[in-house]
Amino acid sequence: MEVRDGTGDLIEIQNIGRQFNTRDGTFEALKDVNFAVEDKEFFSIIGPSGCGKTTLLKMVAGLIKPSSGSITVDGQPVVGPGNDRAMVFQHFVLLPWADVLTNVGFGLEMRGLSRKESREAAKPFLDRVGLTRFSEHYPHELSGGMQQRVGLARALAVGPDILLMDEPFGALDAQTRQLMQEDLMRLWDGEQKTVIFVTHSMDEAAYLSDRVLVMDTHPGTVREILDVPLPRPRDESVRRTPVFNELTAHMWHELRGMMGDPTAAAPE
Amino acid sequence: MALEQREGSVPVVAHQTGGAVDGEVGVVDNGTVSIEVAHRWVPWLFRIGSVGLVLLIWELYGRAQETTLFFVPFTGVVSALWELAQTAEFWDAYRQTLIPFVWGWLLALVVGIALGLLIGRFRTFEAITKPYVTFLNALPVSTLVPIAVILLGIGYASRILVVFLFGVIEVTLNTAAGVRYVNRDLVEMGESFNATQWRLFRKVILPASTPGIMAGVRIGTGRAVVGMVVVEILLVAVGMGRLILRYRGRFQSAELFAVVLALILFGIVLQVVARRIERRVSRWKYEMERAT
Amino acid sequence: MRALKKQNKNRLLSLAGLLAGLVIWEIIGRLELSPAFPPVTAVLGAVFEVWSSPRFLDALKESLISIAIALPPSILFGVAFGLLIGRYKPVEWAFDPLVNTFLSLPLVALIPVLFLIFGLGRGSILATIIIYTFFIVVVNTAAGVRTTDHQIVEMATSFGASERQILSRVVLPSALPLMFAGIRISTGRAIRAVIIAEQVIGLIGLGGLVQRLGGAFAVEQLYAVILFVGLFGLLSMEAVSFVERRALPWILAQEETEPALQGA
Repeated sequence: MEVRDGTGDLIEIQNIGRQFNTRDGTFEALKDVNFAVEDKEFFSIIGPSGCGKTTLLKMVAGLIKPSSGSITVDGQPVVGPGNDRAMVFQHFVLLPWADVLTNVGFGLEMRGLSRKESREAAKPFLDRVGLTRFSEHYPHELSGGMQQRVGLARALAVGPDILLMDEPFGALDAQTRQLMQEDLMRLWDGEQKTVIFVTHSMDEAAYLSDRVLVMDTHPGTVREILDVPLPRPRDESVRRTPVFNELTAHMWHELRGMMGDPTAAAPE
Repeated sequence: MALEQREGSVPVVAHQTGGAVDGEVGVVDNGTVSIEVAHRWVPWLFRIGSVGLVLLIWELYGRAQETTLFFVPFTGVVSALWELAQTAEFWDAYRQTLIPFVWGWLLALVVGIALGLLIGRFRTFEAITKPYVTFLNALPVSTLVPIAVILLGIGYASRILVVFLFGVIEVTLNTAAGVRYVNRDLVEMGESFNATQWRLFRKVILPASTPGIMAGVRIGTGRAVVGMVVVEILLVAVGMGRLILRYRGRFQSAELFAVVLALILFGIVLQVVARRIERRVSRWKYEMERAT
Repeated sequence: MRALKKQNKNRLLSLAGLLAGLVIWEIIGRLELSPAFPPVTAVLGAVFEVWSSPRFLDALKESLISIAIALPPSILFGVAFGLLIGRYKPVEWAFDPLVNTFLSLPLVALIPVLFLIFGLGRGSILATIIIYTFFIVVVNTAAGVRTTDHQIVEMATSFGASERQILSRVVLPSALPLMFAGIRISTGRAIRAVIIAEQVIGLIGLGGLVQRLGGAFAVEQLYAVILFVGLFGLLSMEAVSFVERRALPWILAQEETEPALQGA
């Protein structure tokens, strides 16, 4: 396994708990969540619906505060959104009233650049996702896959150390999804960023990641963290290797048990 | 998602704190910055507080005036109204104002709904009437008052006509829209069961258009009230208008305010009642839209 | 293709309906059934005469001046207020009862009161225009704010947007469609407001002209003025729609069923 040249743990999640007040009382979404993400690592989080993985991701992003525990990035506690982290969203969330190039530069505008400057600065990132021709187009004129690339370019444009991806390919059809996974793989290889990737798909998690966190639900906790001992760079063919299949089978077994499937065999 | 605001309609506040959204509860920023309030009565505090504040300002400003000729404090208006309500003359005037209103309003509902059904159902009819409806919709109906007078004199007839004209357009338009925008799927479903045109209309289209029709009734009622007031202030021989003119001439401003307040209260009460009825009748539609 | 044919067929029908109506009117007029219905030809004749007369043009100028003075500030403040009400709950709580009250009551009834306070002059007319238009713009703008997609706000927050940035770059654009609807509606209402206020005064502007012509039984000329006012109303709403379509091209793509009605 090619060791990523990181400098140890970049993100530390310690004793995270999160409760929500609902009409029916207190709902405990997360409890005693502890793990660390290494620098320049591709780290996936997988779990059944409602296990709180998106909530967790938003906490790292600084959009939600934990009820208890702490999250530190590079030694600094997370208090809100910051320049070092950028998010990619499942439903793309582009500005419908702005063209593609403006959308890519949006993060930069939020940091204080003028419209003109941010559009200028956004160009190389649009190139990197292969959509240069569409800079003046509007989001609704683009396919789902293309829109998500715009979302990715937007995140990359602010130069974050950490990419937070919330089921980014969940809204795409199967073929586009696979293409996007391969594109992301190539992009990441070149970019050297730390990625936390939330997904439903075991295949996706196994294909893309260095490690996979499997979450339990009700309340959301860490079930186990799996290593992905697949060599890099990866291509299509790894999906057919025994290691890959074992990994996904193991994940499926865990998840199935959590979803209350009575036919699941006893855990090994 | 039809969110277009019409005159007199109140937007439904879509957001409340609480309730799970994607498993997440709490502050959902749909453009509205929310505050997780500790108690449910905090909003009411604001609401009642602001109304109270306005009344207070009204009162104080009125008292601060050197004379009550031009601006009357709140308590002055209320007491004047109270006094007036004891007189037979006041209620006589009210009655004389109400009679043409009721007739004109009923006429507007009947004609409006009938026309609206035809326009909504038959494109041909819609096309033929389109120029007239569009023009009348854009025209300030008050300009037709002199015509009504020339046509029917200054008695009840012209007043009924004016109230009618004010109300009928909105009733027609809303009814037509209610019919036109009936869910296509429902109609196709009825057709798939080989329903006759008449049965289809009665059992599917008509019930489905009821929310639209009720909206038309509500808005049309509001417009009819406007028509009633326009009649009173432009054709002043009888009713509340006569009172207004008299009080203005005699500089009895408190009484003037009081009469205006009476008219306003009438309008508000009718609106509230109409809205209640509309909501009751259209409940299934609200529920449906909320679920999607 | 079929849709286009249908559209043309309907346009023809509308035209036919219009012509039929005019013919019927002409007949009624020739039969002299009522002084209220002069023949159409007489009205059309009066149109040329009236629309070019100094008396009419003066009145038109007066009315337009009133609208030009009162409408823009009303819209501006209405939008600002609507943004605040839509964005901040406490503001909404505080002003909701006020705004809703003004929307539910027959504003015409306030005209005598306004005249008492502001006198029988332009002041009252301006005040009338303002109360007719301000609240509609507020309500529509606030509703527009509430249509903001919370995911977009979240996305902007994740990129470090300040409150000011969220307001200007996310909330405001989201609110534009309904805001424009409010502006379009209030344009029509401004015309109605100025006319009725002028009618009550009876002396100045187009409303005053209507009253005087009515009093003099000058029916053909009265119709000529009415025709103008109606067409003017139509054109101004169309003008706003035009600007709206130019400014908001992305709305066309996200076309949902456009509701047929707006309060006139």
